[in-house]
Amino acid sequence: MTPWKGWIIFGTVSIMLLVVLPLLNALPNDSTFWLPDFYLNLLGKYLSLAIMGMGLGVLWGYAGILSLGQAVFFGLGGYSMGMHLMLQISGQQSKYGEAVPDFMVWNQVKELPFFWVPYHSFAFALASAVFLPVLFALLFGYLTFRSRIQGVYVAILTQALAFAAWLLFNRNEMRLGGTNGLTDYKTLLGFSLLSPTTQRGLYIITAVCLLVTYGLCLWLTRGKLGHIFRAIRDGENRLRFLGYSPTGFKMFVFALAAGLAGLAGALYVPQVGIITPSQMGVMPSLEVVVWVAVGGREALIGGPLGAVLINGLRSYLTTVAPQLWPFVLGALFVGVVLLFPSGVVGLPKQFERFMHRSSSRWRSGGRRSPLSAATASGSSENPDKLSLDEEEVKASEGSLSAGAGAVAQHLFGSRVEDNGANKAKDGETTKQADKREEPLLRVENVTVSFEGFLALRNLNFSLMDGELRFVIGPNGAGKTTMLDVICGKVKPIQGKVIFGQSTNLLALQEHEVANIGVGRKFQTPTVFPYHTVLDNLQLSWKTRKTVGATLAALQVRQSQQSRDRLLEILEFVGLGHHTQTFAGVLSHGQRQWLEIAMLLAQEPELLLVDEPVAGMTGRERDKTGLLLEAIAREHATVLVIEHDMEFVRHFSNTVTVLHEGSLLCEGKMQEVQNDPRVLEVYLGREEEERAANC
Amino acid sequence: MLTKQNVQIQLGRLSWTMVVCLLTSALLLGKGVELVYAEGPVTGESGRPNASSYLQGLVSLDPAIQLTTLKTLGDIKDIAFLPALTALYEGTLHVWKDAPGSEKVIILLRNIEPDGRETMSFLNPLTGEELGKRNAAEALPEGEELEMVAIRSVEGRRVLKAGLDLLRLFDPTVEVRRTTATKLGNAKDLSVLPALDQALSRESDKWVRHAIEEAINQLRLTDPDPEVRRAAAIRLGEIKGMRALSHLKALLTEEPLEPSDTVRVAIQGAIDSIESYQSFQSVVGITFSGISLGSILFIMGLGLAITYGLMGVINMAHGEMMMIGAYTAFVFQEAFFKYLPPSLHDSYIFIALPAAFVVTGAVGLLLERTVIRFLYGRQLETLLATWGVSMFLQQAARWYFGDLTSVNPPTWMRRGIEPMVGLVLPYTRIFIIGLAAVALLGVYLLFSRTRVGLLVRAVTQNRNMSACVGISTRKVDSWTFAFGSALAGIAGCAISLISNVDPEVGKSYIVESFMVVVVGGVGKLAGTVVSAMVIGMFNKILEPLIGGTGGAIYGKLFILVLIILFLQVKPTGLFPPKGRAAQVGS
Repeated sequence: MTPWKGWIIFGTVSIMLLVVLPLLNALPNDSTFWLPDFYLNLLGKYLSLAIMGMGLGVLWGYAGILSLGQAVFFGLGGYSMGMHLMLQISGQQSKYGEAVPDFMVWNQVKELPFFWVPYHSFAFALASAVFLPVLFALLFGYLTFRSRIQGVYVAILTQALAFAAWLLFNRNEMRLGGTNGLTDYKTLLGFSLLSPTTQRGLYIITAVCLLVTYGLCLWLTRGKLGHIFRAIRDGENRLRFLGYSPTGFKMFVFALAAGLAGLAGALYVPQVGIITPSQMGVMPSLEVVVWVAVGGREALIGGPLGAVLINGLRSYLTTVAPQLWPFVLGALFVGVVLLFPSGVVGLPKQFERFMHRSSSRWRSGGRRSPLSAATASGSSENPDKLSLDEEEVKASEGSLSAGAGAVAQHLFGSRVEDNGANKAKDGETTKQADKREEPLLRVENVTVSFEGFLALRNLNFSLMDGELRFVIGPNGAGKTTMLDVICGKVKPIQGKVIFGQSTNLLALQEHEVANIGVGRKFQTPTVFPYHTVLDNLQLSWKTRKTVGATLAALQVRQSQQSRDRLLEILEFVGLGHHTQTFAGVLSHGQRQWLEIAMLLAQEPELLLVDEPVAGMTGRERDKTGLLLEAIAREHATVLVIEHDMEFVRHFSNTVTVLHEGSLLCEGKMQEVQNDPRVLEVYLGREEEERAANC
Repeated sequence: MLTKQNVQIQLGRLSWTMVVCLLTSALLLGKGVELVYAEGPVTGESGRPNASSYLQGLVSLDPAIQLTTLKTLGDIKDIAFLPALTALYEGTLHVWKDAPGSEKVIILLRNIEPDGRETMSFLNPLTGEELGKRNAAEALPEGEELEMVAIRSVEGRRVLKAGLDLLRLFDPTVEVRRTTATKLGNAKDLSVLPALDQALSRESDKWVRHAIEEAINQLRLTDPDPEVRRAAAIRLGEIKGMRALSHLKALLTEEPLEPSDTVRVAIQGAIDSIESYQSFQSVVGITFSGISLGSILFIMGLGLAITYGLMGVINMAHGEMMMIGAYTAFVFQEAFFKYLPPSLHDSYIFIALPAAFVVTGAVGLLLERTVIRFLYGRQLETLLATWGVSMFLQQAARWYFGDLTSVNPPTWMRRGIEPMVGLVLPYTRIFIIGLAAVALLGVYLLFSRTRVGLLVRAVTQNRNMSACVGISTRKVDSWTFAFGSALAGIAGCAISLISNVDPEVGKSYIVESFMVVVVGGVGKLAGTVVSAMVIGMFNKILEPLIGGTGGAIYGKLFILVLIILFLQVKPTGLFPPKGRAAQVGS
């Protein structure tokens, strides 16, 4: 869909909602086109709920956080407004003429509870409707996300929250009307809530709020923030090792959704005239999820669309056949999840793909596309995003063979000497003169225990600045654990890890380690499958990676310089032709390089690379080796773990051998190869065997 | 003693006697009270040759005769007269003139028939035999008269009341004897002491003896002799007479104060001893109810620990599986009551338990084959789809069964054992604790000792590898899920014993069950046990601490907060996956 087409639709809908419908309602009652007050009011109700649906759409669809407690925030907003409306009636029009709302009189509460007092002010009530949920969400989000509770755990915890809130608000001691809630409002800011004019005004305000918040969410999710949200959804750990702290971003989006829900509550209450605990329990929270699921969570419009559709259906069904409604709702849950995972918004695409698939199956015998394979194996949640020609993938593999040496030369000009693939490694390293001969990384006496099993025992290890160091060792030697310790993933029970002059890495969290210049590549490539290659790189590009900085940078266009730099890096790793390709369709080798490119975009001082050539063809392997050499020469110190001895012999200068969690020996590959201890570790106790044979 | 057979024989004889009596009464047409006496179907020490004359005395119009009769009856303490005396006291003792000149002493019992009519039954005061039945709305047939017997003097009323109380000390029902003793102890009427002593010497039930002794010593606290008072106080301390506690305290703090120093010391000792016993008892009580709640939580969490913990399937319809189990129990109970003789009614639970297991397992299997199979590895989607299923099942149950149905525990389960004074542990709870233990053992053995368990563990740990070595992972998935659901059925059956069954029964427990699994650590049987017990205990400890009507609810809220805080410290639960396995996939 072209952008202007989108704007036209948006504009038409806005005019319909804001101008046409209220005008129709304002017509005289006997006119043919008159829109009855009842329906306008109903639509206003739906639109306020649509705001809540949109919040969950961003939270769940973009950031992948499924909250089953949205109605709690809605309720907080609703109660804030409801309290203000209650205070408007008490005194003058109330039955008992007391200074407190009627329900308090029944409960023998003579004095207004202290927390009710500020709600005399409309401004306070409005602020409380939005910011009370936000604050609460920040607190809850902090506790939840900080301890890395993820996925279904969050869903279950938020559900428990909804359950708790429902229990609590049902109590009379809360002084919020107990089970009956707050109702029987009369006026808002002096306007009678019973008059159609006021209701029309409320409708228009609601519609404006919906459109404005829609724009806000669109603005927020279009740019980098949206990329980060989706990266959280697809690979929170990768993001963490790129230097982002997902906690902050998750709190932000959680609070955003909560604020929208609160706003929705505040708009809903004066239009409907009542707020009770039953509107903030487990069930209403789940209904929000159904709206978003039905509407589709891959586009921002899905939530609002679903809210209006489902609530319309509900209003209709509960008047026609109330018994049926739970069945329909239940069937919607199951049906949408099983048959229409991308909801109404995704229907056209799903249809298109269905047609395409049936025709291509006819043509090519139904091959699966690489992405669908990737989706099936990964944990990703929306398999319908990309469609890519298999031809393109093939073509891209061809371009991989472009010699990395040549690219490196292009990048670094004269400083790169000829690096033939057959260059011998004999100790004549091309170390740059400006590199200091002092350790960049010192690992001292590190011991890691996994419930008693010592993965590392008193490991001592150091790495010079500018080195390309290979670490080998049999399986279980503790190689990956060592990397995990350095990048903060695993905390040792004793020891020190010093980076640079004096930075203690053990005191830092993963993202902090990443931000001071340690990049980590995992054994299996972890890239963001639903981002393009360039977006993957953008995410890792060295900027300030906090929520505030990201928000501040939303309006700033990315500088041409940084863009050029990213393209350079892509050229460097041989992915120059794939800037707009979704990472999910890349081949295994290409993903490895993409991940390396992402590390380079981070501009780290130290690169930790875990088995970069596992599962690669000979050619890919050579290219990777050259790449690593070039990086070590020009960019950063590189620490590589590898099992492929041929590869190590070819590219290594110094080799470190780990065995059973400690350092076995260190030196040139030839020396190491002939070390009897190494032979013993790799080949078994030959001496003993020989003795046994005699 | 009465045995069933005995009663039947005697009832047979009784009816013959009745016929004879009626005939003679019709023949005699005599004046005075008709003799309604049947020989010996009642307990008591006297052979009661004078039963008819006693009855006659009771209904006598002369206050003096009535009073004398009452006094005599009070002295002989014949339990056979308890119904008649009670009826007199309550105003239901009547003289029925069923024919001109014929009068019978009867107890009038009003009842409402199933069709809504109100009727009066005329019962023989000594045997309970129904002598006649009349429609209450209509006038009596021609020639019949009914006259209530009044207590004709103030003194008579007093004597009757005292006599009644004493007589109840010899009631055949244990509970009545016990409450009567307690009541007498509180009444501060020293004249009942001989009767209490007599009752004590005849009593065999442990707790009734305790209550009587408590009463006797509480009464003796007001004895004029300080030595007796002191002994009473000491004895109360020994037997932990909790009901005398307020009395003992009053003697030290309120007028009239206990005058003797030595007695006061003894009283203080008794108070201390009783109070420490009391707190010990409440600890035991809370522990028991905590374990009992924990067992319920455990038995519910167990199914989840398998479907969620082992398979990673978030089954929001797990609560509805429980509901299905509970309704299965209900259906079986109804069927037993309808089609089988009463003697078998109590055994429905033994059929209902396996039936619930099978039925819920079948529903689980169906659910797996139709919905969950397509959603493996997509937890959030599974959560939503199963929630839809749960709504479906709930509404279906509401439609078919209505909103409230209750399952009656078998009669033998309605009582409890009393290991300490005043601490009754209901058999239902003990049954559930036992059930939880059996379920735990069964699941443990199944998963750790059998080939089936091995297959399940293999598939849940590495699906692809299992498929490679030739395990049909689909089948294993289906049956594992069905098994987890079937356990929920058992839980539902257990819950039906302690609470009403309604379509929302699953909803009310599902959140807590998930909490149990989350806190315990996913996939850990031991974790589920410990966390269920801990959450159960916490609940029961917090409830009285917070107190008030909302105690239970605020306790729950508090526990939710605690769980969230706990997950801050241990995000993977009490028993996290260990070692390098924990690193995989993170």
